[in-house]
Amino acid sequence: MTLHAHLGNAVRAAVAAMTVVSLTAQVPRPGEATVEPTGTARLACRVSVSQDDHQVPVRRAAVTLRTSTGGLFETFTDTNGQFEFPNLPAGDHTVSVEKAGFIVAGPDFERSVGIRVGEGEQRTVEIRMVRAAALEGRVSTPAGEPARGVVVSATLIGYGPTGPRPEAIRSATTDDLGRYRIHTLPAGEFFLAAAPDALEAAANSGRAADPMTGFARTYFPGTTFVDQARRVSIGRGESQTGLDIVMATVPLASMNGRVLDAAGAPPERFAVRVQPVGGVSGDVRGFSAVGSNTFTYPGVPPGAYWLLASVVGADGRFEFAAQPFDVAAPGRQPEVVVTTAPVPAIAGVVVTDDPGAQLPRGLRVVAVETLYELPFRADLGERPDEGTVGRDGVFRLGGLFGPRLFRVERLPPGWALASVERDGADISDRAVAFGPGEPATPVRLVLTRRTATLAGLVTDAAGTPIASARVVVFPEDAARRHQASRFIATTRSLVTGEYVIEGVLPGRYLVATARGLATGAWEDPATLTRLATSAVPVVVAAGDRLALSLTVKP
Amino acid sequence: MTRDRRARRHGHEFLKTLAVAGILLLCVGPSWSALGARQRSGQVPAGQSAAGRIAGRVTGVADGRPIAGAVLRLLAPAIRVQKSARTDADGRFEFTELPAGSYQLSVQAEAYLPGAFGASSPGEPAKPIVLGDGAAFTEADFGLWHPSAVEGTVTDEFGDPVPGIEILISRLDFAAGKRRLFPVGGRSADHATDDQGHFRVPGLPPGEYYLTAVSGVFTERNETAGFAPTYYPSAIEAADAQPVRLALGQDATGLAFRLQPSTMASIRGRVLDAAGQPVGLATLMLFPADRGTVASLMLARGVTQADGSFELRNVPAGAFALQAFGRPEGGGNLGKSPFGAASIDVNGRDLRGVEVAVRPGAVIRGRIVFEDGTPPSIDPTRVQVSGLPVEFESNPIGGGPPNRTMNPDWTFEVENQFGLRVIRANIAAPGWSLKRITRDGTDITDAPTDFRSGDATGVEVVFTKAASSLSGRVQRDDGSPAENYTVVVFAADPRRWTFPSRYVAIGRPNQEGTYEVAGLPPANYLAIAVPRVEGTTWQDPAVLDQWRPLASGVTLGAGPATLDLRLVGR
Repeated sequence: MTLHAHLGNAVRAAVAAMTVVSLTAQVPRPGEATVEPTGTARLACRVSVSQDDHQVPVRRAAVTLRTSTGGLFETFTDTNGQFEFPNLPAGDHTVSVEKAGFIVAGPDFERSVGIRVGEGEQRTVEIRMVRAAALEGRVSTPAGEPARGVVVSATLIGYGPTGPRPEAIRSATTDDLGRYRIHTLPAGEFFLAAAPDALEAAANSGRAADPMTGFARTYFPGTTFVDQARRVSIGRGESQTGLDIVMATVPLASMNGRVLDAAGAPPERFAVRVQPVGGVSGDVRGFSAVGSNTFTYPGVPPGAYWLLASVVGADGRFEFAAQPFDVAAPGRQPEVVVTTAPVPAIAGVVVTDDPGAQLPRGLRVVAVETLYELPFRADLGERPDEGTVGRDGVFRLGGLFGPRLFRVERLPPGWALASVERDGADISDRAVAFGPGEPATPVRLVLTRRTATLAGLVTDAAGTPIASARVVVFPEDAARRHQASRFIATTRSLVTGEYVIEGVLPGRYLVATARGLATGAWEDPATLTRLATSAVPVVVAAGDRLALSLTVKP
Repeated sequence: MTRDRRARRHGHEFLKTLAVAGILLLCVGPSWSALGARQRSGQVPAGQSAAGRIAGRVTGVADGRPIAGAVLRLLAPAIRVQKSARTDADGRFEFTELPAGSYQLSVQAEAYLPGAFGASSPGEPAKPIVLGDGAAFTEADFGLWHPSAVEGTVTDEFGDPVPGIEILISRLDFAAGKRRLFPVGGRSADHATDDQGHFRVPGLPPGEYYLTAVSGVFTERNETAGFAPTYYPSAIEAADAQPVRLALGQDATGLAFRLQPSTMASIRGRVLDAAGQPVGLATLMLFPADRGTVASLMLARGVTQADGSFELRNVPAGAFALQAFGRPEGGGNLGKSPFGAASIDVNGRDLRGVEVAVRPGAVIRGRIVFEDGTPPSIDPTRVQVSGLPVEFESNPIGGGPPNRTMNPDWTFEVENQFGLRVIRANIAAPGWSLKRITRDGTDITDAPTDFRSGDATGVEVVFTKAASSLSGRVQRDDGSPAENYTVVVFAADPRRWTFPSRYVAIGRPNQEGTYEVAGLPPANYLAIAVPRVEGTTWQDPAVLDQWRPLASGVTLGAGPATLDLRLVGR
């Protein structure tokens, strides 16, 4: 081999490495730029963990502070476990402290604390962390070989738009020896779910020795059914080892198809997603061929799926299709042709029921989707200004498909959504089924300040204030307990144990506090029925300010 | 996890997707495009058949079991053949209908190190299989090894475990005139330490590695800060790093890092174009300035906002080079980007208002000349002229090939050249090699051109057919023929070793055990046969100087010469 060829190879290798670098570097990273705080308050915190009956500092932990107005500031604790934000605006802020192996002490899974600072206030707060738990084991193939690159998740039953579903709290990927360690877990009971890394699986599907067999999502100790999974219970700071899992294999199917737009033509730009019905989203990934209207999903385990396709025309016109797709038998499935249909964009107006009151600024109207569990709004061609309410109260919403409830986000304290009307009908709590042919009838949302406030202290049985406790206000009428209900409100107690819930519509309610409530569980009717047994009944009228202290059960 | 850090992690997932896509794109280069789809067979010369056959078996060395589904790649660039095959359940494979030629055969299998036919150990180049007309070679057997891993823990100055530290694996190599630590393979984010400060990086071929524990701006997630990049076991300078040696099939475990604390700073600034306008979506790369005896190619990356602004957070104290690349035309090739650089000293205080100006590069313009006046019957695009960086101070650290035009009248133009570079030319025609490069009559074959002072026009590249070639056999001390070795041929005059030297080359044996090194300029040379060389360390003058007393002398002119050598070392 000549010298030049050698030099050439070395340069080419370097160039190849750099090309990857450049490809990855072209995308701005979300949230990368943070703003420096401006304000009159100063917050200093000391973060510590208890060790042998005294507190030791938690060093170099990542600190994120979110202001009540959506500001985001970041810093780290120093080698004494301290951090400070010198120029902070006044308000109710949420501070999260993250360091692997530690979690913020509190009854909930959220790893943050609520801190209120006033104008010009110099506040010093002690944040307590506890040692976190960990789960460890080995994952192997049915042949006894180590299963590499398998994602093992500590899973709880959480709540999605369509009800209870497995929700991964934290996960870890097996190494070349098949070992995993899931750390920074709160104490509790978990399922362990093991599944191939979807991205890796998609990238390697063409190269697998047997592309028609794959690992199924397997639960500890070795079942594909979540109801047969064994729960693993861990205490605070505990490590459980030897949680070995043998992966189950399943025959795979390959799905392929074409997308046609409403005119029957191949679209220029389209997105396709295959999503298990009621499953963990993002489980199945495929490819859309560049420059054609075809797509391929090479490794699909049998099951029920949503096949979702969206098309964005050159003029910004948006089309959508969602069809159920059952993979009953493995192997190559018949080609699917998905024809998208134009979906309505509607306009609407937000008004207040008090002619004297000015409409709050910065509101946003959302159409909550209650069937497809659509994971990414961007897939649906949603523009950043979608739903933004102008000074005149007017907004526009596009890409509407499937059943939708209309709600308002970014309401200032004390405000609530009183009613939603369309074509004279009250659709406050009734989803409108959008689809092809649905007329673009406008929607009218009415806001009110005629609401009540609940406030008080959360303590344990001994009267000690409890920080970060979940407080839920929910309607006495079980028919009003559902996803995106206007009658359910929730918050977490501040670092002092105080809580405030504003903007409660007049009516009869139950108020409860609970440990270990999964995110979204407060919209789950079954959970609320359970909470009702230990809840305090209240009747509130407009303008009420109720003082109500709550006790967390052990 | 807060929603924002989670959002960033989603961003990271997205980047990972892109990275995978990028790797896929790279795989669809000339070598892998044959996989499963196109199989290209070159022209069979008149009077020859295409009845040749190469067959063999792939097994695991550790247990002797056959490896099913391994992918074999057969290449004969000279006759433009590239084919691929998969092993069956018994690990067997076969290529048929092969024309006569010199073939290179390699194999890849999941969870094994790649194999090259005739390589004594993984990572060594392949030995060619020379196949006669209609011949069969059925002993193309491979024994594959599992890769090795490094494993250990990372602690801080208090002895506590540090989570979220990424371990960068590098090899010491010689490039652009300096010994440098080159990061190898893998996505380091996958190897971040866990809550116990534990790391494990698998998938490594045997060899000598340098480990760096990085955090802050040098990591994809940038979620751990307060430490300087620390070379194993606790060094601040790359020159003080201790290597970790990995033997075939063996892991190195129990490696204990003690991190060096450092103050952190953020760097904010803007990227501007030649007209002073802000450049959005410009790529930024920050890396340690060349200092000490060993340079480190540890990269931090960033990208500018639409208004040209950028922020690099959690930068440790030290001297850095900051390079900016404007948006390249049509995609991600930074080799086509406008470029600019700045030197930055960081000492724990935030830097604001840093401005980097990017400009398009200079042009190399000239023509190709063939010594006997008759060009070979190849397409002019088979000649490749490029500018080779001799350092990374004035040169961009990354980028693919720039735009090149090679005209039918053998004139050419190469765009986007920066800094100090040596002009080099390759020709893909057997027998031809570079003789000389001149610029306006001045010989610049081995002299760098400074592209900061403008275009290089009037460049003449002369190729000759009257080139030297050196071939021979290598014996062990006991007189038996050596099968695996590398011959390094280098000028007797050390002044000719300066990077990038045309007077230093290596050769590897074919399956007959013979080596050949062709195209060296006429001069007095030294040659040495060694069991193996690491990467491009054979270009390092310090290494050549060590070999000098053990090497044999030979004078090369136009035409062939032979030199048999004795293997030096075990």
